[in-house]
Formats: sequence, structure tokens, C-alpha cells
Amino acid sequence: MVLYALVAGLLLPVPNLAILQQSIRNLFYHVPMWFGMIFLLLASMVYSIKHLSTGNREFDLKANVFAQTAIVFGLMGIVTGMIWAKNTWGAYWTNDPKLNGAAIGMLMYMAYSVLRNSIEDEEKRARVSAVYNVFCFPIFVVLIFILPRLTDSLHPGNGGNPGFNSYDLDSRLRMVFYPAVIGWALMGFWLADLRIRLGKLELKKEEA
Amino acid sequence: MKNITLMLLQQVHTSQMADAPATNKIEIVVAVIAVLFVGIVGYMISVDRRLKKLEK
Repeated sequence: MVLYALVAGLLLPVPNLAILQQSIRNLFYHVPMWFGMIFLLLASMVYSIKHLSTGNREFDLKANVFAQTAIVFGLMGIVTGMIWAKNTWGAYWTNDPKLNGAAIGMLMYMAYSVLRNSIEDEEKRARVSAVYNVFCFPIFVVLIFILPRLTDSLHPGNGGNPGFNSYDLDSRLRMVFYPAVIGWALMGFWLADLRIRLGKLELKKEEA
Repeated sequence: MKNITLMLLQQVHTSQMADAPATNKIEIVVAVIAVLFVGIVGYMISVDRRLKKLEK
């Protein structure tokens, strides 16, 4: 599906839009990054809750790996967004509520990694970071989905900006966009799964 | 005759309007895809490093 999204995203005809022109195709690459990130973070939070209720180390490992993979997706989302912004809005970074919200959210999750590394005791580390993670996710959702909608934003899909709807409604874009979102999300879970299996082996080795 | 050519020209014009021309800003899309590639390769490198540690 990622392959389909990559190829079709480049070849399929797109509606001609002012300013954006061909760069509307970035919809198939930039946006699925954030969707993938949200799904991964949701999984991370679920495993944090599971860890808190069972104390199982494997759940803690999963929560950590999902969060880290989500950070990679988020970084890709931010960098691709910056390139796109430079060419459509004229600057890499605008002090837009959506952009700043995403940046704060990313910093929160980077703080999660720092927090993990700063606690020596393993059980304590797992528990403290799980609690932090459970709080992080709702704040992240508020930051990138709710707050930007309350104010004006350059970013499509927010405030008084109707941009997203006018091209999202185009069925040709949807035909690529939805598989792209699903495909990239699955890709994220696969990448995370590789790391989880690796982490499990490391755990086994430690115990042995 | 003139009318027909005018009509044809118009048709060509509108069909061009429907799809964006192939060269406009496509390089942005290419740059974005390159970023995704670098990101995934970076991820693979980190997996590679961990695997190496485990192999020892």
C-alpha cells in the first residue's frame, strides 16, 4: 500500500490549485506521517496503561518503542512540512498554532525519552515514564487537533481556513490519500515491531 | 473553419486546466520523498546498531 501510495501519488492527475500546484502531492507524504504518529502514540499510551496495571516489563518496552517510532515519524512530518511551508507560505516556520503545537508535542515526547534515560532503577523508570506517557497523549491531541481549531491558522483544516476541504473533497486525491494513511501507519507498526522483537531478545539475554 | 480551430484550442486549454502541468513544483514533492527515505534509513541504521550489540 505504501508502494501504491508512492507511485500513484506521483502519477495520478491532481486538480490544478493556485500556489500549491504539483506540491499538492505532498498530501500523500506529509499528512500520513502525522496520522502514523498518532496511531503509534495511541498504541504507546495503551501499552503504558497495560504496564501500569500489570507491571509487565514487555509492555513497558512496547510503550517505549512505539513512542520512539512515533518521534521518528513526527520528525519526518515536521521536516517535510517545513519544506512544503517554505515553498507555499514563504518561510520554513510560521508562528502558527498548529506548527507550534506540533513542536511542543514533539518536545514533550523527546522529554519522555530523556526522562527514561535519567532514571536508573528499572521498575521506577518504567512506572514513572508510563504515567508521564499516559498524560502526554491527551495533551498532544489537544495541542495539534483542538487548540489550532479554536484560532486562525495558515495550516489547512483549522480555524477559518477552508483549504483542506476544497481539495480533500476531490475523489481523486482521496483514492490515494486513504491507502497512503493506512499503508504508512502499518509501516510504522512494522518498524516498531522490529525494534520490539529486538528489545525482547535483549530482555531475554539480560535474564539469562 | 476558424470556429472549429477556436473550439479545439479552447478544449485543449480546458483540458490543460484540469491537471496541473507536470513540471510545477514537483521538486518539492521529490525533496519530501527524499526526507522520508532518509528518515526510514536512519531508523534502520539504529536497528542495525542494536542488533550488532546483541550479536556480540
